[in-house]
Amino acid sequence: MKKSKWTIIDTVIVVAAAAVLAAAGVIFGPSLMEPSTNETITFTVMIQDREKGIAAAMSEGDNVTLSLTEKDGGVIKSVRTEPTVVMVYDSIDGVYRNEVNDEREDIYIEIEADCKVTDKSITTGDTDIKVGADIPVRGKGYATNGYIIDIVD
Amino acid sequence: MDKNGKIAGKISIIDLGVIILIIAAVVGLCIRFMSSTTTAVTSDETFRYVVKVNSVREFTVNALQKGGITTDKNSEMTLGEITDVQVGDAKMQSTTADGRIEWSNLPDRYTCMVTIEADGRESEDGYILDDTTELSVGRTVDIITKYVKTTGEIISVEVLED
Repeated sequence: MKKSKWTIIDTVIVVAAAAVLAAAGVIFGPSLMEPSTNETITFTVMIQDREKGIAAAMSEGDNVTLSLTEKDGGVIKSVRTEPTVVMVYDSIDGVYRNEVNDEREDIYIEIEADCKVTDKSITTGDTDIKVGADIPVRGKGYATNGYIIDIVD
Repeated sequence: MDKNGKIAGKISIIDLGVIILIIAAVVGLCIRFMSSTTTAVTSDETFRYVVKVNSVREFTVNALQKGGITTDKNSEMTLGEITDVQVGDAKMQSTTADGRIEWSNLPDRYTCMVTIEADGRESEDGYILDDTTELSVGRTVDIITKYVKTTGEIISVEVLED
């Protein structure tokens, strides 16, 4: 059998593979080594200024998807609505005030999800659970998005 | 080049092309990530900067007041820590129908002055955090903690003495 020779290309391939492994270690290493716990977290999503009746499609116990990749999900614990409040400007008096718009509603959904909790983040799958974060909520027969306004951990 | 397509009888032109391509990629990465800001770094420092978060609702105020570590946008790198949050009414300038300028309170909206202490580097050109965020007065930055994600404008930056 002919003895194989070590060539320059073999060296280049080994160096390139080592560089890829090193880069992967730098990118993924900290997240893999960080201590974390798995907890069930309840958070509230506010869906603003919607047509009346959309909330009727949502029910307690619905399984909902919380990301666009259909991986991350939770369960609806409660749904409530309030008339939409709009900030308007009174140009006569030069003041801003809140006005109730009875024809539209804000929807508040309480969702429970299994999350990974670290010192830096709360995530369900790849979705960050943070107050102020925009989050899609998709269930059977409805799809919308809102903002996380409260987290109970 | 010999009759087998190898230069000096050892390496083919294709192999040489591959090597040149890999070297070019490595050089390109070095140029990309070793920017003028980091190559001109003079010292590691701790900064205290204040971010004005304007016109947010009470739930954002509550989440900011929980404090904690600030991170990069992927919630992986620790950048600093919120040390203080001052809350006041949010105001907006407007013009009345008769041409007066009024500063009016925005109902149910608040302005927060968030003080953050963070480690970074000082260069000849300015101050940067560990995720290369530039600390400059007037710059809009994200504040990301375990509980909140919001945006504000830097209104002051100071270097803390050791």
